[in-house]
Amino acid sequence: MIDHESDRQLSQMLDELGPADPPAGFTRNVMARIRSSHITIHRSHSLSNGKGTAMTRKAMWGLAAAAAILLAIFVVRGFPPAGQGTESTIGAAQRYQAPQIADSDVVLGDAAVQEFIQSDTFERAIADPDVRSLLADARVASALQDREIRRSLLDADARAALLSADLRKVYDSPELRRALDSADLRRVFDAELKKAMAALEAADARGGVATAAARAGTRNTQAMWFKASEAALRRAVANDAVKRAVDGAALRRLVEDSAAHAALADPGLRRAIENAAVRKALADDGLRAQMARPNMAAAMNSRAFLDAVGHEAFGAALISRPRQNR
Amino acid sequence: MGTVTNFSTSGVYVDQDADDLALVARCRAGDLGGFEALVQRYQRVLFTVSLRILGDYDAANDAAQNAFIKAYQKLESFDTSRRFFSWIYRILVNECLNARRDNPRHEPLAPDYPAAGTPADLLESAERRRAVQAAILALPLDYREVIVLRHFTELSYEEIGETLHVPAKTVKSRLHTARTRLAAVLQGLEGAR
Repeated sequence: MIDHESDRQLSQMLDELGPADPPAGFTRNVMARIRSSHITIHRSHSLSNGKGTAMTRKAMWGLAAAAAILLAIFVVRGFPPAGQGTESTIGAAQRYQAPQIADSDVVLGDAAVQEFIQSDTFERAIADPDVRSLLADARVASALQDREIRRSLLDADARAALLSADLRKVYDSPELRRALDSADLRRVFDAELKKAMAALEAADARGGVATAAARAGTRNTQAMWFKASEAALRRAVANDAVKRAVDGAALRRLVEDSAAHAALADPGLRRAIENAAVRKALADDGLRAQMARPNMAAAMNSRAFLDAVGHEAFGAALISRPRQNR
Repeated sequence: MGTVTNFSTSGVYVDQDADDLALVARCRAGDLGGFEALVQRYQRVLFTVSLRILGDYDAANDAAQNAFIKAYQKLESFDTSRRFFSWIYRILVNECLNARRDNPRHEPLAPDYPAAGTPADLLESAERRRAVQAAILALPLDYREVIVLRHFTELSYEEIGETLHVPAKTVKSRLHTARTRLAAVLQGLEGAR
């Protein structure tokens, strides 16, 4: 037991110890770390509906299946699925995407680029034979000039997913390529996606009764975009004209294949393919060929490469480097 | 602004209010400014908690910064029906535990706060604060947490219970035990006052 007087004295001593002020610049340092590391809010593990409800396993699977087919389309034909009259569809979809940092948000002077080129980080990256080999490829260097791609590569899960053998198996399937290359499938898909997004917009317009938080949560997760795409693809694959023109078995195999499941249900891959620049890069045959090289994974996972990629001036340096060597 | 004050008026370190949810929503919509406001709001209380749990200034700084960054990364998983402080506190404690595991030999910090009086008074006061901090660090984590939360954040028993995921009566019981142990360790100091 503690007597009253001791209790009082103890409280007095604890009061005397008091609070502590964090070091000067604490907030600035935290925010600088977030900005410089391109840390993003992880959206893929649980999708909040504004009430903190985790997405159900069933819904996750639905998204993964939709993502699987979408990814295949993106890989074969690039993004967005081309077609007349899809501009408004894509515009609507983009409203559900979290804001991205634009290149114009970051202004790098020549001095910053020069400093980076002379830094240990850059020297280590250039000294690494795997990284050097990687950067020697014009397509890879070109892709790495894109800030969004570099940002995706900093996400370890996304990087692993992009390099996985399972994913290569998916996008290297000739049957799937042929099926997804069908103009009929793409035409029907575009039309269905447009309809689905229009329905989504109408529902959103009626959503004045919904809370702002719920709507904000939905936008952030792109759940609605995937939901509309899933519905459009389901209708497109079931369309009679498509059935006559396309090898439906290849599409079905995509979502039935266990390797495809493993690759495409991966949250890291979901994060990566939500990035338009990554999708565009994946559609490049030459870049995919580079990714299939055995030393690619080693290079992309090397400390030197990741340190370099994490630097804002990296893209600018890639452009400037040839000039420096002249 | 409907302020929901969870803390007593003396020694208030946190003004937790309904704006927390608005700031979280701004972050989720991609506005970093929302998160910056959360950092400014909670930096002092989290740093204080971190310092009292770890007893090392630099380690406390690292743990508190890491807690904010992890909170930002995981913000989508934050359940908005809960208090933001309770959520980020759990992240902070994990960071503190990691810090202790990675570097268990932190020397307790000698607090350096201004105090009135003669040089002898200042010295005595500093020694007393050092002893109190050392006594807190010697407590098992369960007891240390309730002491820190009760005295340095001034949460209510119910709020501490919510933060630690234990009933309020467990909080009271742990706090009583913790205070008894502290009083026993600090008995000599009390006599010197």
